[in-house]
Amino acid sequence: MVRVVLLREEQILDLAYEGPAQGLLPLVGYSVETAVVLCNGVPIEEEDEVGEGDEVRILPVVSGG
Amino acid sequence: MQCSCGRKAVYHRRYSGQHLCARCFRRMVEKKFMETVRSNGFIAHTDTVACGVSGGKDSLVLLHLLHGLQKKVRFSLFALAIDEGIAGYRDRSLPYVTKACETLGVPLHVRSFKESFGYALDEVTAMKERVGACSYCGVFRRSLLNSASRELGATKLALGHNLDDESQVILMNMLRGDFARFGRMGTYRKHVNDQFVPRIKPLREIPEKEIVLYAVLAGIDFDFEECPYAPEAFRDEVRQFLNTTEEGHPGTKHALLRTYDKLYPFLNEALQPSVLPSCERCGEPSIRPLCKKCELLDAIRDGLARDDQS
Repeated sequence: MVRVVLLREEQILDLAYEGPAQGLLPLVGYSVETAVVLCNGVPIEEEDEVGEGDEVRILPVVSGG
Repeated sequence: MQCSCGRKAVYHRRYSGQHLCARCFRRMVEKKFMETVRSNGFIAHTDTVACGVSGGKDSLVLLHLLHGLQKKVRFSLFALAIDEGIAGYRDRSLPYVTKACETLGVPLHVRSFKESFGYALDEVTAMKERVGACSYCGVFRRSLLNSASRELGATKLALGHNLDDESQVILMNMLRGDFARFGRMGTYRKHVNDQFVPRIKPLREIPEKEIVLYAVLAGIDFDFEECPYAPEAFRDEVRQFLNTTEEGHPGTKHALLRTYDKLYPFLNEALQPSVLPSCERCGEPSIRPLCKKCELLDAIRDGLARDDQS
């Protein structure tokens, strides 16, 4: 299980996912252009693998007016 | 992937093919900011710069970078925040501004729609007959940023518009067929009105995503909420289109801005007036006899009166 923390939505999801972070983004309503991904508190490239036991935090890129 | 320096990369810069570690990424953003300031002659030693701040990532990154630039260029800097009167949004983001200004030691001034124009944005949008919220907000905010900057002695008004903002506006003005506004988007090069404080956009070549990552890596605390009125705006549709296109064709947003910048000298020559008149009522710079802000204030007064009668 990957724990996904959606910061704007204030939601925490546990998903059965193993693979590159960019594959996870559409599953939670984001894309490479609209999210910055942190894995276990550290920014990662979207091509980096995430999987069992990781906490992935999704920061929305679009904000403000 | 690894950065060219050997460290673990945290960012894949798709439009250039580079993989950058945290240190090289921050340097790249700071270099791009400096290049934009230098190549456009944005800031001189004699300037007093008002930095428009909202509490979002763009304006707080801009404030942080301008504060850093003061070590090299001895200009004066203050922050200027506008409280539009959007409950649950602006009251939440302004504490981020206060905190950043206190941390950096930058003086902060706050102006509100309510005190300056008599209405909070939420009161205006509660009217039965109204145009889009962003139409009021954009006009009032631009007007208040200009008048407050001038009154506080600023010679430049720095705004946190990023590459995404710029490319969205270019496309929006084209899609609307608004040629006059299309021609006014670039950096002002002519002195057209004493009341007009020239606007500078030092982040205009930096993608929105890079601003967010820079804020995270530099430890800049910001509000990542979206304005509740944003989904009303045409901009939202244009943003989605550009993001989808950028994903399939990295570099699209840069290409759009580069194309505009190449066109701008011709547009500026053809469309920029040599003298920008002033509004007959409030004295602010305006192409028309009555500025858009005064026109909208009249419409609000009439709209609220009609609501009271019904």
